[in-house]
Amino acid sequence: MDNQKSLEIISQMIADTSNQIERNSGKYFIAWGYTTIAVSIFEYFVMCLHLNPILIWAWWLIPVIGGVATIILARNESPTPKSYVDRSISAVWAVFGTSSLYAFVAAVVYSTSMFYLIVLLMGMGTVITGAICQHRKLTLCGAIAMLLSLIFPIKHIALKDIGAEALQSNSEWLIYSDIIIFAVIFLVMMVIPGHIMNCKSKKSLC
Amino acid sequence: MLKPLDPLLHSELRLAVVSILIGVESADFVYLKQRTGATSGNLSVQIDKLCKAGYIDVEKGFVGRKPRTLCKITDVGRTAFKGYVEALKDYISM
Repeated sequence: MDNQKSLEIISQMIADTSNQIERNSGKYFIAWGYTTIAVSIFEYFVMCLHLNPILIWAWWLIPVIGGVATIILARNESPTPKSYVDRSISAVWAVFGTSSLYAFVAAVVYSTSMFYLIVLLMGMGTVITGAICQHRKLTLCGAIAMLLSLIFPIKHIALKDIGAEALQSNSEWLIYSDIIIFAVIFLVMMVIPGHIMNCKSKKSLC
Repeated sequence: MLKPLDPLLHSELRLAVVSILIGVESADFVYLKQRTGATSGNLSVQIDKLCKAGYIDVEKGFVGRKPRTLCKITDVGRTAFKGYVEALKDYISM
């Protein structure tokens, strides 16, 4: 084996491995993103159509479906190396995922909006993941989501006075539009960067 | 005077295995086989040589019912790889 060949092997193996690590992250973002969007749209109709209030518990389908999807995706994964990046990303999402569940419980107990806290926490997780993976678009989408989370308190202040009246009138959708905003933010924060990551790695494999 | 290239690393398959392991915490046998395109038999032999030299650690276990062999680079392996790359640089810059 000549020296040039040695260098080629080293650089090719290192490049292939780093690409593999990035490829694995995209599908989890897509799974959690679409699950959140689907459940949010369902909940929006539950609220607007005044369906059985027990259906409000369907929000718990997000961690259930997301968790099951994560397990299935991990099982079906082709054998991949475990890196420090994987371990860091897993730790980040374990912390932020648990914090979001706490935020949800707090929102139920104190009867306050969960959207602001959850979007903020998920946005932070996305920014950190983007920084770890050195994926600028992911970092940017997370930062945009964090910024968009401010819509919830701003809207709350703006609607404070007209909220009660709106509930009596046809503009009730305005009150529940938080759910749609929540879904749109998840589209920006998880689904779009997830597809970009998958697309990028598919191209580099060709 | 040029340093000699480590003969254990100066082999296509062993160098590929160590190059993969240098950037990760661990990699399993199936992944190494896919990436290097080697046959199971040849890869096993080369992994065994690297393991005996103390360059990598091999951990055998099960995932569900499937057997799994995990390989990790050791500090000795990391130092040897660094030395190999340094020596390679000297040869190329000649």
